[in-house]
Amino acid sequence: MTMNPNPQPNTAQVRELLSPYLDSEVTETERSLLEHELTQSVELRQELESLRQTVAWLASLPKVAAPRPFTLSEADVSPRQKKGYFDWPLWFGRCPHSGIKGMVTASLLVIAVIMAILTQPFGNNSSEVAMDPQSTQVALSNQAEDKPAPELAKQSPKKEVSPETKLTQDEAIKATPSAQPTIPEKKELILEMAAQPAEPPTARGAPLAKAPPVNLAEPTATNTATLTPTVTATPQLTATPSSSPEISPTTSLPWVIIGLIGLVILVVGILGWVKK
Amino acid sequence: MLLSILLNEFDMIKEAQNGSVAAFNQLVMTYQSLAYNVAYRVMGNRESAADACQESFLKAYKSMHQYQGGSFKSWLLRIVTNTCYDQIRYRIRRPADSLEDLTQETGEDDGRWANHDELPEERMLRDELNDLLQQAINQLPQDQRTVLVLSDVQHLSYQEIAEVINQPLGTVKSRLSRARHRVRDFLLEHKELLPNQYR
Repeated sequence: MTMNPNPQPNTAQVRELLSPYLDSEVTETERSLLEHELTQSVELRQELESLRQTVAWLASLPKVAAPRPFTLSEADVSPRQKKGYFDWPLWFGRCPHSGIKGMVTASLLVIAVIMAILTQPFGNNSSEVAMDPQSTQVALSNQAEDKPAPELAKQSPKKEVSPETKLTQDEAIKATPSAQPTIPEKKELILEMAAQPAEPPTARGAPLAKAPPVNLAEPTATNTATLTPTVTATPQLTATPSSSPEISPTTSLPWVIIGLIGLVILVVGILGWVKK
Repeated sequence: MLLSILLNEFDMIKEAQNGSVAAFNQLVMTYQSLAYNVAYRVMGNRESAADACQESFLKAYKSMHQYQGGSFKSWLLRIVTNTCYDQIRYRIRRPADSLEDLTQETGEDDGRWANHDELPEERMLRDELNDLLQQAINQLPQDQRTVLVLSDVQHLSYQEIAEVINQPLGTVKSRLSRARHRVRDFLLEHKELLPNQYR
C-alpha cells in the first residue's frame, strides 16, 4: 500500500464519506456518489485504502488483561464512616434527612439559648454596680466619709485597697463608733491585706469583702449588736460577679457555651449544605 | 442463548438496583474487560486505567437507581469514559501527582493477550506498531478519541457509540471520520516506525 500524505479528493464532503463507507454506514445515495468519485480519482482510492489500513491496524490492537478484578466488596459500597467535617451524617446519623434534622436541632438549640439568656433575671442596681468595678469604686468613695481610711491607704501605696473592703470598714466604723479601731489596728489590717499576693481587681473583691467585717467585729462583744448595718451593707458588697448566683455572667456562661456550640454546628451544617 | 444472557443480565440489573452487591459483581465480571480496555486506550496508561475502572464501577453501583433501561453496556461505558476524562483533567490540573504515570514506559509488555505463535522479531515489530498506534490515539482530541476507541478498537456500532457519548449519529460519523484521518496522518508522519511494506 502506498500512502499519499496529501490526497486531493474532489470535495471535503466526499472525503467525509470515506470513513462511514468503510463501515457501511452510508445511504444509497452517498454510496453511489462516493463510488462514482472513486472510479474517477486515484488519489481518493489511495486515501480510502490508507484509511482502511489504519482501521485494520487499530482493530488489531491487542486486548489488555485487567490487572485485577474490579468486583466490589460490601465495605466498598457501604457508607463511609469517615466523612468531611462539613457532612451532617457524621454528626446526626446517616438517614437521608439527617441534614435537615441536624439543622433544625441546631436552630432550636440556638433559639433556646437565646431565650434563656434574654429571660435571665438581670438583678437589681447592686448587681449592675458590681458589674463595673470603677463605678462601684466611685459610688463607694462617695459614701465613704471616713478620713482615716484613705490616709491609711496612703501608707501602703504598693497595695490598692479594694473599694468593697473600704466600704465594709467604713460602714462598720460608722455603725459602731465605739468599736472604731485605732490607727495601729487599721495599719495592721492594711499591712495584712498588703501582704496578700496581688490579684486582678475583679477577683480581689470577693475574698477581701468577707474578711474585714469579721476582723472589725471581733474586738468587743458589744459590737455584735451594733454591727447590724454592716450586715445590711453586705448585699452590696457580695454582689460581685463571683459571689452572687443571680449574676448573669456566671450563670449564663454554660448557656453561652451551649449556644456557641449550637451556632457552630449550624454554621458548619450550612457550609456543608452549600458545599454540596 | 443471547436471549437467556439478556434475561440473566436484566435480572442481575434489577437485583443490583435493589442493592445486591453480588448481582452487581456479576455485571462487573461481564464488562470489566471491556471497561478496562476502553479506559486503557483512552488514558494510555495501565495503572490510571485500572483506577478509573475501579472508580467507574463504584460510581455505577451507586448510580444503579438512575439506570432507566436501554443498553447497560452503553450506560456503563459512558460512566467509564466520563471517569477517564475526569481523571485526565485532574492530572492536567495537578501534573505533580501524575509524575509517576508520565515517567512510566508506554510499552505493553505485560498484561497483553500475547499471540504465542508469533516469532520474537514479529512480536517486536508488532509492539512497535502498537505503541505508535497508541501514541496516535493519545494525540487525538478527547471527543474523537472516545469515538475512535469505541468504534475501531472495541468494535461498537455507531448506534451504541451514540448512546455512550449521548450524541446523534451524525456527530459520531463526523468525529470518527476526523479521528481516522488524524491517526492516518500521524502514522504517515512516523513512517519509519511502520512495517517495511507500508513505508
